[in-house]
Amino acid sequence: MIRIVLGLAALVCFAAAAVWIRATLSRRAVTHRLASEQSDPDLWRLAGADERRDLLLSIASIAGGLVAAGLAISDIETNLGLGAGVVLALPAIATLVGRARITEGTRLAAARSEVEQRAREVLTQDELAPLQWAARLAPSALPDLAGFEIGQAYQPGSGAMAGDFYDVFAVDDHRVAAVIGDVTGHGIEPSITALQAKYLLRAFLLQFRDPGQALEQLNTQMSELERGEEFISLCVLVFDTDAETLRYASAGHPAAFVWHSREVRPLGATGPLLMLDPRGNYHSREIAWDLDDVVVMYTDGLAEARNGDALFGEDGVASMIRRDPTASPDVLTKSLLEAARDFAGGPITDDVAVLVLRRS
Amino acid sequence: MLDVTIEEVPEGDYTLCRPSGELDAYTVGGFREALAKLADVPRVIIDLSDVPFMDSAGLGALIGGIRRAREADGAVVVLCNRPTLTRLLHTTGFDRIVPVTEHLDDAVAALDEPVS
Repeated sequence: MIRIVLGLAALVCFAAAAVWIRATLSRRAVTHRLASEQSDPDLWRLAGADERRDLLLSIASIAGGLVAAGLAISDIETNLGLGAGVVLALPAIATLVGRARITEGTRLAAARSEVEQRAREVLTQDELAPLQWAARLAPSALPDLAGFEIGQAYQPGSGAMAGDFYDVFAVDDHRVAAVIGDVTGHGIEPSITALQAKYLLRAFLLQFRDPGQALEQLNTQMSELERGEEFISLCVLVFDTDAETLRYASAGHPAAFVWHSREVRPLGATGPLLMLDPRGNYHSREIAWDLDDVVVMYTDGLAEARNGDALFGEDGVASMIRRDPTASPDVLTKSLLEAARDFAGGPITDDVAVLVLRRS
Repeated sequence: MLDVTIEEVPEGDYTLCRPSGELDAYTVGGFREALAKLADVPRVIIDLSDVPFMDSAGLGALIGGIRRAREADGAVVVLCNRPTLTRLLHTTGFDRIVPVTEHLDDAVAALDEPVS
């Protein structure tokens, strides 16, 4: 009689072990997937702990089954054997009764880890989006162009997506275009408008020799978008290394500055903001571009760095250039940003783009 | 902080919209709402005398408001006596699409001038 009871206890324990082994295998699959997807370490550790717990329960169940089976073939006293059988069988019976719940638990854990993983991926994508847009609008690497030293910087303000952009490219073998622009507003919409304007302008600069004419074409095209409160300020320079000239046009953009003949000269607006007036007129101006001349372009975030009611201003930019016009474009870019930061007594909250070129 | 007062002036038959405070990305919402309320008012003078600072977001809201008013055949004039702001309105070409005056008398007179 006692042998039958202990034998049954052993069977129940082995059945419970089967349940826990299945759970362990299912948990192990989740842990492996999390490890291979390089997911959040906490998530992975949590799944690992669950797996180890189920493994221990599997081992305990098998051990219980072996003990019960051993006792069944030994000459154990009836009362002691009965007691041992109940103690060994009870947790195993509880496992078998709650079997459905255990299976459901492991299934849910697997499903939840998958959902959490997807959510994390979406979050990562959202976090990366501003950087990815910025990499297109204001790339940290610009082409290597003979006769030019270039420095550039881009700082997004308060993490939001921005509409600041710049571009430097060779129009032909002796002409180089440099562009800086800023679309009003923050978020994905201005970023899209900025990208459209940047590449449309490239096409027009390849088509039209005159930057003013290119801006007129760009304005006509961009105005058709009819985007309410969205406008673009933009400054475009076309350097001609053969003629040693610089031709520029500016659509309501803060003055760029040229260091030429030991003087700082502003390159002011030659037409209204783009998308303000579809019939807007843009003209170009031409100045000399000699060896060691420097041009500094920036977006309003730099000149609008503030300290109380005072603005860093275009004057602040001009005086920084005057301080050391022989500095390399890289250094000049950095010292401009630093000067604006120092002036504001803290980080600049708006988006800032700076582009500096020197003829070398 | 930005306050916007709106006042009807019967003797000149116009509505005066006077924002006071800085007009930037953080405060532009209130200004935009005020301009939206004025979209159907036929004659509006926007007085920027108490705006010490305006950035491109403020400028965007101002232009958006003026566009909506124009679509409803309203006349809008901007009154501005601060040199930095006047320069901004000139640099951006804003003063070519809407009259910008330094004195209230000129602003009222400009309300009757046809839009170019």
